[in-house]
Amino acid sequence: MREMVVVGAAETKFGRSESSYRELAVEAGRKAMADAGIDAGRVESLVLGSFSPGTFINQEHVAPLVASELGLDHVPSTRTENACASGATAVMTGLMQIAAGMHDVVLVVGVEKMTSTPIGEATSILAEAADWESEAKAGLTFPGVYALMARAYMHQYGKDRSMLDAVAVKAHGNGVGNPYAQFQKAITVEDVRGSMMIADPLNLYDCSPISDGAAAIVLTAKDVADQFARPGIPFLGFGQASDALALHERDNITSIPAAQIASQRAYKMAGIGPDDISIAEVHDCFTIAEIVATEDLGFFEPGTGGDAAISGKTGRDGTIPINPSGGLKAKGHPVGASGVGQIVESVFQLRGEAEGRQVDGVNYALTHNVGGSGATCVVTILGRGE
Amino acid sequence: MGTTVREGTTGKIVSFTVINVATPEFADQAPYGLAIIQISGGGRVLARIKDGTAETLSMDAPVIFDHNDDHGPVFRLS
Repeated sequence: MREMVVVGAAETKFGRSESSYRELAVEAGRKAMADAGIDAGRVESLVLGSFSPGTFINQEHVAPLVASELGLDHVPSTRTENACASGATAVMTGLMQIAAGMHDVVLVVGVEKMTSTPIGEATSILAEAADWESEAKAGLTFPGVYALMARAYMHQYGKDRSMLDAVAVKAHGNGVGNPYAQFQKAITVEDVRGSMMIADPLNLYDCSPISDGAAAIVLTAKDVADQFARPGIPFLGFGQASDALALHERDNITSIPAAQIASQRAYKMAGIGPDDISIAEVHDCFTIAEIVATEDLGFFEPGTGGDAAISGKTGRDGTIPINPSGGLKAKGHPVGASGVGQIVESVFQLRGEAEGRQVDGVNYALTHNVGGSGATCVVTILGRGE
Repeated sequence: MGTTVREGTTGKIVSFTVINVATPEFADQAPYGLAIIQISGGGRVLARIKDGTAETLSMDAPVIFDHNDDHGPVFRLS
């Protein structure tokens, strides 16, 4: 297989934006192409990750819309949808186009415009990523899905919500250093505990926000990578896995099997293991999700991820910094953009260009993007290149 | 595929939550208790628990089918 690399990476600021869906996608796409030192004529294919523009902004058929707005020259354009993993799924699709030799230069954009939708309606749209017949129809919301996981985790391992507080405080602390983050303000344990109850035991500060934003990367193959302005950041491994949509159809609800399997596939392909990873951008859509992720990815044993968060092991100066960007929790979660944004942050960290939040000595970065409660997971591992 | 529940179906709570912020469709019911129920005899369902609150619900609590409505089955603590 050809070796695939990232030669351009960019994102918009995440948060409540005045920009439209297409303006956000164009801003990220143009900046990524500029970073790679190419114009629109060099792009051979567009893959767009986006969850639900049809309901959020009454617009489907968005891939050719964005391709046209970017001035791409009649290139094939394709949208991917895998709920909150739509972005990383777009990256996987782009990687396959290059691996197959179909294209040499693929632009991958992830985008969502969510804040123009009232919060109740947005909650309904997000619940469509759960199993409608057996979950959403019965009144389960997405915070509710992860609340069920959090309650089961705390019961199984004898933990209280201190671990959730630690994840939220750490995320917002990291967001302070990230100019792209929706929230750039530190919070305290008291803030977390005093925030509104959303789905017991999850409070407002346990939840990632509703966000607008876009992220983009220029993908190419190593055999042609010397034609670009920036050195290639290689994808050393990647893996994707699926599972039942409904949480209650899984025997174990304190881990996400698809994340375990996707990461094992990525580690095997990269020829490295969890101990080699320098930083990880994981899918912390809720505080409990980050704790479960750090166990599923092999950084900590099952039942010990919460204690690791409390003891600071996942902090920027910890043994395995998790979400130095602030994560979905503080950086924001414009659904289709999140998975691409994790890769953009990893590229910045591997280049040593993550100003204000740079972790020292980053050799390997891992990204973990989850759809629904774990029915889709995509894990990628990037290296420094030469 | 789905597990069938009917009059007399019993089970126990595997995990639960109380939804405070609901979708518009459920706004008039919030807050309401939801649980994953291990059905006696096999299978799991997700269902609302009648009068389920953070105070009344607990892990492993026994429940029994109460009624069906437009949104599916409702259980109660037994």
